[in-house]
Amino acid sequence: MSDVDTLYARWLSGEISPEEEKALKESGEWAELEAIIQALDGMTLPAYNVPEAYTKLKLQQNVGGLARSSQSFLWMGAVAAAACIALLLYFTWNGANQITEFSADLTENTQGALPDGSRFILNDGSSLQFKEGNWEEQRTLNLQGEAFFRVKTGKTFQVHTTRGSVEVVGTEFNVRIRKNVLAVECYEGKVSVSNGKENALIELGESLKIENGQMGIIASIDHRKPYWTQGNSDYKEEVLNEVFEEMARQYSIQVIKPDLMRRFSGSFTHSNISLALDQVCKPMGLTYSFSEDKQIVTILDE
Amino acid sequence: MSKKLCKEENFKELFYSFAGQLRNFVYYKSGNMAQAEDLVQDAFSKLWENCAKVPPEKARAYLYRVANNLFLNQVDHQKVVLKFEKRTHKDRDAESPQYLLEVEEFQQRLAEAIAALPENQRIVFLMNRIDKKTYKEIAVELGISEKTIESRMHKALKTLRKIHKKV
Repeated sequence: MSDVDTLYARWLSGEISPEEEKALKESGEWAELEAIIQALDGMTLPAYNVPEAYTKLKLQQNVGGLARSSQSFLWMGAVAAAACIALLLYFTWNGANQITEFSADLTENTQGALPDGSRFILNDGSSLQFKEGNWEEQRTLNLQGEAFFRVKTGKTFQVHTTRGSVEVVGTEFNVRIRKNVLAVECYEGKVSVSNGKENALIELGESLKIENGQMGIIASIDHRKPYWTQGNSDYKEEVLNEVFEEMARQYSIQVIKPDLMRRFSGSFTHSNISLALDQVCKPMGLTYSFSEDKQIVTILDE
Repeated sequence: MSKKLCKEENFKELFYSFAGQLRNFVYYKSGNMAQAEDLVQDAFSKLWENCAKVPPEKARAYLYRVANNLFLNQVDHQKVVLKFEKRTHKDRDAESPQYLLEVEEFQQRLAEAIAALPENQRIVFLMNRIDKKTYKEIAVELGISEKTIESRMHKALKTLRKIHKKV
């Protein structure tokens, strides 16, 4: 085989003589080859999901599982297989009925994922429950308290509460349940809210409150994520009683105060109790004092 | 006889490091990605069954051979069409749309020309260009001489250069 038969190959791997280089440049071949290699550098193949492929192989081939059965052990394989099926059935049956519960301590947010990869963040003192086994068919969960959801597109996703229910397909939204209130804020997509009698559809950048079973009006929100996930509680025309109840929950303290039906718009931080009290009390003409152990706050309406 | 590959950790390591390359190899032959991924599964499956008989240093050659045989056994051989994806370039934003369109058109013609190359040239060429393997590595893996690899590379580039001339 003469060197001419490998010239371009050696050009590509940088193994040509100066004379060959000169000849290639003069003939214009160099530029043409260069263009081809450059274009190829911008080309690749679809990514290969290796972990997924390996899992598939393991399922198909029992890799790393029990030793493959030789002739004399075949019957044992059959028994084992039967036992496996029985176990699998048990787990499927059991799994479908198994209720998984997440709850957040009084002073800590809890993050988690649902079986389809949808994600949630639970606010302090909140909890949710769902059935793991049949999640793909029925994306339904019960919620107490408040949670932010980022839902993977798929079948209908339902959040049941004692104050009403919320239904979506794939979106980001926040649900808050308090004594008499269900408040929903939608950050992406569309959310359907129901009080059991009526339905309302809210869209990106909108919020809706059900107060004492009554549908409120749809209002707009100006934030991309609930404030509490960023360490704030935010309110628009909220009764002060509710605001202080939330503060007591966030800081795990007791609040002694008169009945305050006035409405507050603004926010308070979750990181500093004195600052939080200032944020709410000052604009509302209230004063406050701490007990010695700082566990009780007394609010006075001047 | 070494039974190293019967240990799952060794087998898994081989799968993780080599399954992607094997998939590409089969894809270069057929242009059928779904088939290529299936054949990788089947080839590794065979290796697992024979893990006690295959020494680790021969595993890659074994997998190439098995994948090749499985490929040949599949009756339905159609015309090869290769589909590539764009590798994202940071400096792309600076280029004019006109230029990008030209690049895209050129890449499309190139993909067609590569698909039309004789199979043995196509495989070697893409193993070098896409999988970034050296001539020596390809020679070892496919069990052919380095000179043959260089010759196939040269022929492939010669054909592709002619296609470029048509512009």
